[in-house]
Amino acid sequence: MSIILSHKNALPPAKPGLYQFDLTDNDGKSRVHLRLDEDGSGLLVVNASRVVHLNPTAVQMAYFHLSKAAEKDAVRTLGKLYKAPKSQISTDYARISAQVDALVDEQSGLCPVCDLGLDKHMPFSATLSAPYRMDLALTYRCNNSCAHCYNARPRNYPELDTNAWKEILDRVWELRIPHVVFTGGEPTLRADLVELVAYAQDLGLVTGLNTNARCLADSALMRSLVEAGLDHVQITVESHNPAVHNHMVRAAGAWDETVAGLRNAVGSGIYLMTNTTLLRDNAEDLEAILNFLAEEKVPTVGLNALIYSGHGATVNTGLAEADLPPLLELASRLTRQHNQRLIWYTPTQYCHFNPILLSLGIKGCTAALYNMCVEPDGQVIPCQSYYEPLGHILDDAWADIWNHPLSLELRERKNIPEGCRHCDFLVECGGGCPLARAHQSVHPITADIY
Amino acid sequence: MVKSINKFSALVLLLVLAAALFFPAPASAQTYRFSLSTYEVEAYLEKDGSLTLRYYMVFENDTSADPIDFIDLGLPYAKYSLKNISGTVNGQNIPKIGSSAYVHGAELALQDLAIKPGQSGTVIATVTGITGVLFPYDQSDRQDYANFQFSPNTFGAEFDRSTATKYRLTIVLPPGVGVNDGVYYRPSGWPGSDTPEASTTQDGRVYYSWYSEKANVHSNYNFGVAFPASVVPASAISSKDKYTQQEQKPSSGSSGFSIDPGAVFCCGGSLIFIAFIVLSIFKGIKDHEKRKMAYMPPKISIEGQGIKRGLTAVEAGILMEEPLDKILTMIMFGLLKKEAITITRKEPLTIKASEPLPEGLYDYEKGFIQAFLKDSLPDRKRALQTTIIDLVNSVTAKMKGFSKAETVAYYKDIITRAWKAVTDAQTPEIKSAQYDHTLEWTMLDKNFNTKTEETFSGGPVIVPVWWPRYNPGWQPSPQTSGGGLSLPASSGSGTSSGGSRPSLSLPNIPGSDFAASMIHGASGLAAGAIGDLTGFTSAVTSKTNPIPTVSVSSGSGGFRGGGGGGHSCACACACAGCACACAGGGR
Repeated sequence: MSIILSHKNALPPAKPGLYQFDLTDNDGKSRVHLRLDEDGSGLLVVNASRVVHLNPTAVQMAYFHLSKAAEKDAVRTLGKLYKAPKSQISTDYARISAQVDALVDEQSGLCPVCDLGLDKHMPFSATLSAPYRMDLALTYRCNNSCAHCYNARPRNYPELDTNAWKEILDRVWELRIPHVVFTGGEPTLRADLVELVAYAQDLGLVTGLNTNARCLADSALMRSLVEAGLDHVQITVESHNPAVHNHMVRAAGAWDETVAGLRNAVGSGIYLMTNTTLLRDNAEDLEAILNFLAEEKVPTVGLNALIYSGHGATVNTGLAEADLPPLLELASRLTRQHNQRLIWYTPTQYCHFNPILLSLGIKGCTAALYNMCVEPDGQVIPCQSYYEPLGHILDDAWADIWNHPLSLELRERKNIPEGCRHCDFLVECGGGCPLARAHQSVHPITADIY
Repeated sequence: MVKSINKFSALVLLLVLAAALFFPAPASAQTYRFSLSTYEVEAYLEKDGSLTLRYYMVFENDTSADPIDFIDLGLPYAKYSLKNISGTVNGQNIPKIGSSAYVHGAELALQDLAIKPGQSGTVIATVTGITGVLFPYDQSDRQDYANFQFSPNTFGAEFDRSTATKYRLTIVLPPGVGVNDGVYYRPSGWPGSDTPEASTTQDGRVYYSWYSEKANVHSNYNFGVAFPASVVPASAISSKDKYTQQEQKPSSGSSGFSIDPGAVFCCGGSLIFIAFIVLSIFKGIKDHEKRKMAYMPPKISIEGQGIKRGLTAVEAGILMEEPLDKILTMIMFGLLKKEAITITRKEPLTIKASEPLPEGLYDYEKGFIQAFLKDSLPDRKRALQTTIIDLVNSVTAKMKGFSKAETVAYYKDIITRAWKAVTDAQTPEIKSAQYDHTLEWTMLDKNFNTKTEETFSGGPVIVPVWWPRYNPGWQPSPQTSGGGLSLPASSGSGTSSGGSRPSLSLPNIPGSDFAASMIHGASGLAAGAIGDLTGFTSAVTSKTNPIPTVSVSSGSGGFRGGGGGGHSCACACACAGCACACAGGGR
């Protein structure tokens, strides 16, 4: 009798945690994470880049669908959990399954915001239990000495050993953070980098690397990182001109090694982007830089402005935000022409530079919200450039770190300039980078500038 | 046989009536809300390597919640038997313990002992004989150790309202472990001290105990210990792949019953027994129904912008999937208003570009002019196709990260307001001026033809400034009177290509003539220049991907803009990769 036997085929519902699904189709592999929080709501993260929010019912449906559960079994389990007609559950399950399929297929060209009929909420408005990404500054040692470097610590800062970093990776997974980026200083100076990448990969994390790529001139290292499972790499290229690049990074011969490393990365097929800091040293050469990167077959180009931390706070080579639009228009045009993707990173004050108008996306400070950073000694800081420790990732309770007064101040934008409070773009802009505020004044926008 | 069948039918009828009489319709989903003032968990590792768990829980039920009639107790993914689970509530034995449908573990059914709203209840649950909980120690600092890792049972955050639970977790090591031989793991997620109280029980067993008043019963905390493997049988230590979460079914059945159909035909005592079983199943089902959660329709949401403002009427038309012939006509009228072109012949459409061209023309307007300056029809068609393809791709790029539905609704509202400005005008002069001023938006209206006819059939129309450019060879009649009105450039929502105009006297024509001329122009004057519209549209969509529909005179159908492009995430969505740290690192 089916009534008596009804429990036998029941699927257990998903419990709070982080679930990883590796999907393979004709376009390659995707790593999808489903984070389920204690209150039942969750996140779906695709390749550590596309993030959507799910209510409790959608989480369970997404979980069953991604687990390739038979639809009838999933609907049966959901019918036991929820008081709703089976027909309604079945209809909703089909809809959510289709949306999940569309979301995980990043190659479809569909914009998740405008093409998939998803509900929308304002940017930076999500209530999270942990960031999407944890940057791991393995070391503050570096083989460059950039004049504009944002690092405010000494180079010989205490570093944790391999086992401690593995514990940290375990902890990151426990906190349901699906993405780590190894950074520094220069992370390739760590002898255990490949081992740590492999460990993170085995846990199910998406791993990235921020580097000057000088050590990646060694093709064996590049190959080892790829084989260990490294997902993406970002390489800093400050100029097409060796002299300008070497001057900016204050290291003779750096450009040659960086470009050799870049070429190894291009050849490896790894997901690659470059990053160029727009300063007075190189801004005039932007067109030549972009043409150079196109010739080197770089698929994604990143640009950012000066970070007002460390040397950046005093180097005085930064551009005013109001001077950025023509540069970014040029970059947009050229990258489009070269069929490259352009990413602009820096959160600016929209009264000076509104990235939305150039279709660069909403850019705001995401410190202690979407990303945080672990320093070489295990202290957590709000982001890679904000050197105020919030607590030790291994020794202190996560709740104390995540809800540290500074975390809350940044996440809830408590100390934005007074002039920003009446701006029509407060939600999107958030007052720009907190580190940059001392260097410019705001002009709130109170009329529709679209 | 007939008598047996009748007896069987009577039994079924009796059961159905009994169910209807004794068991009401399913109640609405329960609302559970409680706090736990005390939550103590003791995990005893026994000398045979099995685990004994003891939960001591003091529930404070919310005054506005439903009675706590079921408690789901999560148990480790290991082997256990429901027969080895016992419990009390306020000192009385829990009436029924079975397998939970909601967690991997047991369901404690309190039944008549349910904790009522506003009351407290002390629930003690003991589970003995859990096996398969020990694994080889995997750190290098000790040899031949076994480890045990454990997360206490949690309750859903939506139910738990605790603010200050006295939370204690104690792990007691097997007998025979020396005081210096035990190892504890630093707990994860734990808001209290990582260092436990470490001591021995009265019978000399080492224990570690963690306590906090900042913990809660809806968060996961992980604890662990290790000890010399020699104190337990080797068979009690499982292999290394403990992290494969395999569902372990309880070793004995829960509510399984078997019915022998043959018993139906036995004497009355067996019938009553069967009836009891079937009714029990019914009651179980009803109880189960009551415990279901209220259904929230599933929702996936994303951070993003809403309305994309600042599109021109032509761009809005692309977004709204208007037919391409209408788009071309809109471009044409826009250029007439800007005094960028003059129509030298209507059929076939021939234009002359002004010299110099006015400044501020959009790319699609320049493309239109360039196309119409080509002599051969095939060349003109190809050039127009390229113009439209570029226009579609441009709109697609502008819309990235914005809500198409909200944006379309926004521009439909602009169209409505544009027509209202025309129809609300009190005088012919103002009506004509408003019509001119809002022409690009009113032309987007699917009922443009009808509304134009209705609006202007009743009287004279003061022709717009660009009228002579639109009607080659047109001269004002000597009888027409002067008149005219200027309107300021539009401000606020929408973008008008009209701009401000100087006041000047303009002739008027009968409203019906004006309407007829406008309708003729809007209904395909520009389209006549491209020949087969279907073929033209197909050539566009083969590049831009979506499938448009061909225009018919009612203006139905549309062209789906969007698609195309090989880029992701120039989006206005604040996703992880895009919106994050200025030092880069996103994907």
